[in-house]
Amino acid sequence: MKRMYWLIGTLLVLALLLPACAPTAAPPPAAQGQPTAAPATAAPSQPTAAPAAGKVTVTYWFPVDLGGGLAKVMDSMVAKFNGAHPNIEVKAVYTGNYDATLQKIQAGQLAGNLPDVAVVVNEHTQTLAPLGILEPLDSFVQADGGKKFTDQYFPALLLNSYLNGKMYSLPFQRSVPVLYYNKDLFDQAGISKPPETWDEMEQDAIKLTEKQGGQVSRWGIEVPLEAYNWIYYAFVYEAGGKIISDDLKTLYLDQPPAIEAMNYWNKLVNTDHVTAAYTPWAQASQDFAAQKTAMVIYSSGSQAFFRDSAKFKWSLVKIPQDKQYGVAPGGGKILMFKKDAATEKAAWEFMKWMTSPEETAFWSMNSGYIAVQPAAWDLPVMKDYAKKYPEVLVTVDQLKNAYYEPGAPNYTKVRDLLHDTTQDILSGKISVTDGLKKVTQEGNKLLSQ
Amino acid sequence: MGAKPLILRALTYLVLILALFPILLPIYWMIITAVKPKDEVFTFTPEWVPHTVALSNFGLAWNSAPFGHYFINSVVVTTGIIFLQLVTSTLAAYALARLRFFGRGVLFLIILSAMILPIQITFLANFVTLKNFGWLDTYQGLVIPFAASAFGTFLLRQAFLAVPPALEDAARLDRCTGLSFLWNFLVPLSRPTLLAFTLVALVAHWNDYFWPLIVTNTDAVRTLPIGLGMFIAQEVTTDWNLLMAATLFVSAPLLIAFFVAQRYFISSFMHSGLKG
Repeated sequence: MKRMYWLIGTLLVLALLLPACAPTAAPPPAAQGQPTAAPATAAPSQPTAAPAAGKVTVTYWFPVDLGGGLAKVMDSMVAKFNGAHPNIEVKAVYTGNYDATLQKIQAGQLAGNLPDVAVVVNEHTQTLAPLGILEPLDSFVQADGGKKFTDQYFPALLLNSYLNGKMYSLPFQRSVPVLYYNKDLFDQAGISKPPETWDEMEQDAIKLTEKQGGQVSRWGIEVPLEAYNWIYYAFVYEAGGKIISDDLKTLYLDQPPAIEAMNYWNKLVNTDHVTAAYTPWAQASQDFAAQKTAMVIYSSGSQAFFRDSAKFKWSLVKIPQDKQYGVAPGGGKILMFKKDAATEKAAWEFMKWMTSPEETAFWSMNSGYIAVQPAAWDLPVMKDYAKKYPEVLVTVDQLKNAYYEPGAPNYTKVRDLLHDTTQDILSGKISVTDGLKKVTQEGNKLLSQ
Repeated sequence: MGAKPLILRALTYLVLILALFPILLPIYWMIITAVKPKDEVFTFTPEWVPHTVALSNFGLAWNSAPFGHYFINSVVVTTGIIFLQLVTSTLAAYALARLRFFGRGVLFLIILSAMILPIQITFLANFVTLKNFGWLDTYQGLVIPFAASAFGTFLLRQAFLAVPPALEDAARLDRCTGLSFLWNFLVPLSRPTLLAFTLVALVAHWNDYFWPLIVTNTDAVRTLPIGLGMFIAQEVTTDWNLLMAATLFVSAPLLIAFFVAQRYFISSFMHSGLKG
């Protein structure tokens, strides 16, 4: 009997507590639903910082997404900027990975504690802009020459900088997916050149897949599935398709090119058996280094890792084409939050400086990201770098066939839905057409919210 | 108590050694990965003994972040949290276990239910509170939100309840009541529980990543896990050898704490309780 009371009591307390907690349990959607809640002009973000007279403090949040030691490189760049700008003091704060950085920004929004400048992942420009906390960059760009200013950057890397005609971010650390291949294994299999088309990629993968006693001991190719659906986007663009309409309201994932792209991937998995149904992103590069796969589609940012870790000859090419070449460049953008005029002016100086040819070249050589201005590639240091590692130029070449990496208000949910459905399709739980139809229908609903 | 038959003892050891395996294997893998050069970390067949020992990994890892600073901060923060948790949990547990007052049962239930709330649910409210106190980016901001522990309160309440009432009656005859009884009898008798709780809390707060990352902005107060986080790469591969080297020196204090506590653990179990 006593136990009965306990049970009822516990349930009652839980019933009382849970609804009370529910609204706070999901901060991101709640935060996104109330763009007006954003403080238009936030108080200076660092109450502890007491700048000397005439000195402007800029708080800069940055994630590190490519390997260890980069936080130090970033600190050295910021120190160099501070040295060259006696009137500006940039305080760099490492904020974990992209997701943790977004969480910190969302918490900062509620507490009125936002940074002045931050680096966020590509699609978060479109997540944060509708909240009203970002400062559009158009007036700064105009003052610095307008089109002449934006023309300094690779056009492909500016695709994701806009929402509703306003510019919100500059490209900072960018990368594209490419095809890495193991030259030694290609030689052994008697394949003389890397694949250039989807068919060649498939045939090579069939030749390169090795089995021992019915078990695959080495995959022909690995096509990893990661949160941002990066490789699938590339396949869709190569099939001549599009992911999302220009007004960011309609998905085109039930259209023939999107279906063709998924059919191709599905064939590699379930007909040819040359790649696993599911390869986690982090595992794929390790498998390539350990020669557990002969090819892998992976981030261009991984070259330094393979240089250090692979004990065999390798190189990289553009992802083989279907009707055309195509990728959606990913990586991180640098953007500015709404602050007072003096802080914003200093923040703009900093953003310009960080993406200038010298600095973007330095960051590129240290990190493996693509230098974001063509002028950077004409610098002597960068020419030497490209002479030493000619394959880095493939990534620049890939930028000629670049398209929009989908980002829209509320797109994060669509992205997750597509990711989960891709997994279901490749593991045979749902057909290609049904799966993509489902994503399109549910996704369109999410986008119209 | 006669000697156990040899075969039984051998069997016992065999089972223990087998049980040890899954525990030691990751630690062994961490150590050898920490000393491998980069091009030996990923190989087709796992290398159980590294060909070349790259001790330079430790220097590289140590210098990748201000680890010396982080070490001091971790010690200050974790010690502060554990001290406060021990005090508040002991007092709360005493009240819940030994005092009679209105609403005691309900109060205990509420504390129990607090155990199931993950930090992600309360973090925004806590964050805004800290911001209003001006405690962001301070030691207080890292310590005070964890000053009370539902788990510790629960654990100690159970331990205090297990102390027979006869002992309290005996103590009362000697005029030892209230806090004096708590300090002189309940706390010493619950030493194994206190120690176990301390170790659990030590691991939890030494390793905490999420909260320090959110509330701190400067190296002056940041803790070790943030330094470890800098090695994790989402977009490309993590430098596992450096990460493991750093993990080794970050987790060493925990391993030492367990090693030291272990002997004490056994002896305190043997001395607790009334004679039957």
